Amino acid sequence: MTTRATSPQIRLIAAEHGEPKVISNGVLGMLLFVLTEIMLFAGMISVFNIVRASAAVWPPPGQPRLPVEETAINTLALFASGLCVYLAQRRFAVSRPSARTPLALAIVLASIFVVFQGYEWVSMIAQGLTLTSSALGSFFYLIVGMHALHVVAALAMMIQTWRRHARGWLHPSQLATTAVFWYFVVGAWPIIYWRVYL
Amino acid sequence: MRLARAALGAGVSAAILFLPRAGMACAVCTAGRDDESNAAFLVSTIFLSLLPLVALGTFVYVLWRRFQKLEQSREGSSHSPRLSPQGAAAAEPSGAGS
Amino acid sequence: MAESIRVEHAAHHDDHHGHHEMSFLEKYVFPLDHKMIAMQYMFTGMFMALIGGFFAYAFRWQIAFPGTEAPFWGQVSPADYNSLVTNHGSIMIFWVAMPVLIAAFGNYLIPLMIGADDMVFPKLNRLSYQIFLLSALIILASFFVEGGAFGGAWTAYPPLSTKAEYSLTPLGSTMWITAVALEFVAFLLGGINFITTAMNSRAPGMKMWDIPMVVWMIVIASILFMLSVGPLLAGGIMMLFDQNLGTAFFDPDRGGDPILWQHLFWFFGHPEVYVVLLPAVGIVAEIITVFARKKLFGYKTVLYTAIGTGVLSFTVWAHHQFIAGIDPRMANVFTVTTLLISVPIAEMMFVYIATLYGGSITLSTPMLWALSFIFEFLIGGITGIFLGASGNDIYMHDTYFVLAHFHYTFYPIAIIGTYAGFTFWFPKMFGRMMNDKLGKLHFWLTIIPFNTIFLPLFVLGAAGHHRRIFDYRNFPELSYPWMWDLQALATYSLIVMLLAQVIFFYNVITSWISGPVAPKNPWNSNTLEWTATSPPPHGNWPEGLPTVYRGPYEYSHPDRKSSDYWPQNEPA
Repeated sequence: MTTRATSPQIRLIAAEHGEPKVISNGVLGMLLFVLTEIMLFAGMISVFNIVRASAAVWPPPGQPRLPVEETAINTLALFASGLCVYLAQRRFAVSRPSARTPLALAIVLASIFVVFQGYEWVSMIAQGLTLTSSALGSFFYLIVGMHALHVVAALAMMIQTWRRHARGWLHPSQLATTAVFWYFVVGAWPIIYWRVYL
Repeated sequence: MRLARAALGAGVSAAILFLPRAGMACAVCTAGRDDESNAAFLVSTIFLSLLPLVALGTFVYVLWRRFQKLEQSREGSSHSPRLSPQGAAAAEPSGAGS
Repeated sequence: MAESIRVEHAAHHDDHHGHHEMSFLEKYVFPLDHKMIAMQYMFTGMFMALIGGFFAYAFRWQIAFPGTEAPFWGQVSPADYNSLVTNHGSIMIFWVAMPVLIAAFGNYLIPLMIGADDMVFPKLNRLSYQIFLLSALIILASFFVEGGAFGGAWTAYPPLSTKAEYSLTPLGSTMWITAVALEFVAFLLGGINFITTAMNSRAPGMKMWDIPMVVWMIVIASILFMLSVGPLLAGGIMMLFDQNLGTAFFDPDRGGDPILWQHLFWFFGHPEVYVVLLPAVGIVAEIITVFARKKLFGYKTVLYTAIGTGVLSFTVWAHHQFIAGIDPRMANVFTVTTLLISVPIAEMMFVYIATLYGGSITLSTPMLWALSFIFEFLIGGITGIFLGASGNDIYMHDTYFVLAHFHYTFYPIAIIGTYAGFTFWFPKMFGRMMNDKLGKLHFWLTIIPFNTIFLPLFVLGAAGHHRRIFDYRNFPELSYPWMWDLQALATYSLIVMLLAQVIFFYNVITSWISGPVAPKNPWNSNTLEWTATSPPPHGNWPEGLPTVYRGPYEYSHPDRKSSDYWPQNEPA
């Protein structure tokens, strides 16, 4: 078919001639990236477990308690956002424009999560839990902060996806790529919540 | 014979796991460590060793399933446009999108 | 479906190589072409290798002739010595072995060998090199900041690396860890690219067992890298925090634990050995089949042993901490896994020797390098078994024996493997043939001094010579005259070896300018890259991508009467 194939995207056109791919380039690349990210968080959480187990007293005395219940509610917002992206993907496969609402909702819910996390950080700092105040503080801001960074990056990706969708440029594999990353960020949170907050 | 081999295996594994207890007396080995910290090290070691293998295994398995589904749907369709000259495509894992 | 895909294509139209004339900047400085990016990686890596080699010369001089001035360097102060040793190790592994073996050969060979016109993410590829270059500049710049470059060994164990009052290099340590972290990000992007390309852009007809071994090896190495680098990145962030923000992740006084860094570091550090080993092994596989005119003895065996090595490589890391106070039960398990991992590697070497057996061998320059790889790497592998046994390691730890062992593994990988690949693919890369006589002279002048550098160090190590001593004159009761002689022999050999590299660069430059023009397929090889013109143009096969009909190693096939090779793209 290709007298001279110039770009990988042309091979997606080849796909319609009966050479479908098992997995698109974007999704495969993102999945590989997610594998690395899983190991990044696994490393941090393992270290935290060891430090916690080695400490004579845990939690460190004189440090505020982490807001377990409030964060649990916030976790629900994150889950709902993940669900919205899933809905968006399902709807996108059926009729493209209908994916708009769940995608927008996912962005709003994710933003709520980020804003609430920021609010929580401010109150924790006010109560005396800082990066250097104790091992708990160090690990809390390290692990939760790293996750927050991922949420913000994923949020930027989702907004970009939404804008592409609004212009009618969105390709299913692009939506899937964003979704894979967002599912990872959502899926990593309960484990972090379990290991750090509880 | 098989029993003897199993017993030998069990004996060697037990020796590997429990004999080093004696090594705890050595100056550079876990001196001054409490049991909880030791257990955390062991658990983390096992966890970190196995996690990449499990993650990659899952990843490869999912790809393989998708590949098999694709092959099936391809066989079902009327035209089989596989360019491969080497006969029917064997069900190979991750023989993705050649 | 179809519509959206077309739209997608239009949206990306400017994404990729159009056929317009490119400016100098587009072509050489910010290229998207995988071959040009490979060359950038290759020459940056070689430049860094020269720097790393020069560092080795300076500190080897100090070891053999303490108190005298090293020519072209001057008196090596203790601080100099520390930062030279540290950065020699860091540069040789992170800025030479990784970029040349994985990034340069991966970028160059993967698209050409699988019959693709380029990588699937060309922009990511360019970004990868730019981040890598930035990291290289940071590590070089660290020599010129206040306090000098980091000197806490390439493993950067805390507290030496985290506390400025111990290391005395407040900026140097931070720059070191920043550079290493950036370098990892660069290879992360590269690895995603390699795996995705090898999986999704193969030429029509190329199935699993038709992929050349070196592509498999680079893909497996990339997977290993991506799965192991996460914990070290986590550790790197924690170390940066410890250095600059006053946290105490690795400070035992304030609730941290310095051993944790060692675990995080070696969790990456050990698979890293296999990350650089596998591409070199793949390069050797390509070369020995071509120059023995024989099919690779066990294609699937090599592949499965590589996968087995990869799986086992995640379970061996703690053998670096046998004397760091780990649980002795853990030490036992890690001894067993460490000894086990030599099995697949040995299997691989047997396959190569079996491939050579009965072949009609041509001793060309690349073949000499490939054969010496097998020979020298075996020495490195066998001495590793000594060190893998935890009981023996307690005695051997931190002696020159360890040093000689890992140089006998890394040197074949990083230097011999690179020279083998570079001389083999030189005609493809530059369209000219290399001078074989000069190539062989360079080979012998490199390989003999290499052995006379490191064989004496095995002897010294077994005698208990400690590898981190700046000046052995301070320990007269621990050093005998014969030890000084062996150290001097090693240093003189190093100087000969470094000077021999001049021959190589002379050969490269003169061959590039005025060597005989290379045909498409000078070695009568089967794989796809030899069906493109030398050097391949932008897009590799402008007349249309090749189709694959058979495996890559069909040499001297009984059904093929006309010649002793059978290119992968030739219809039956």
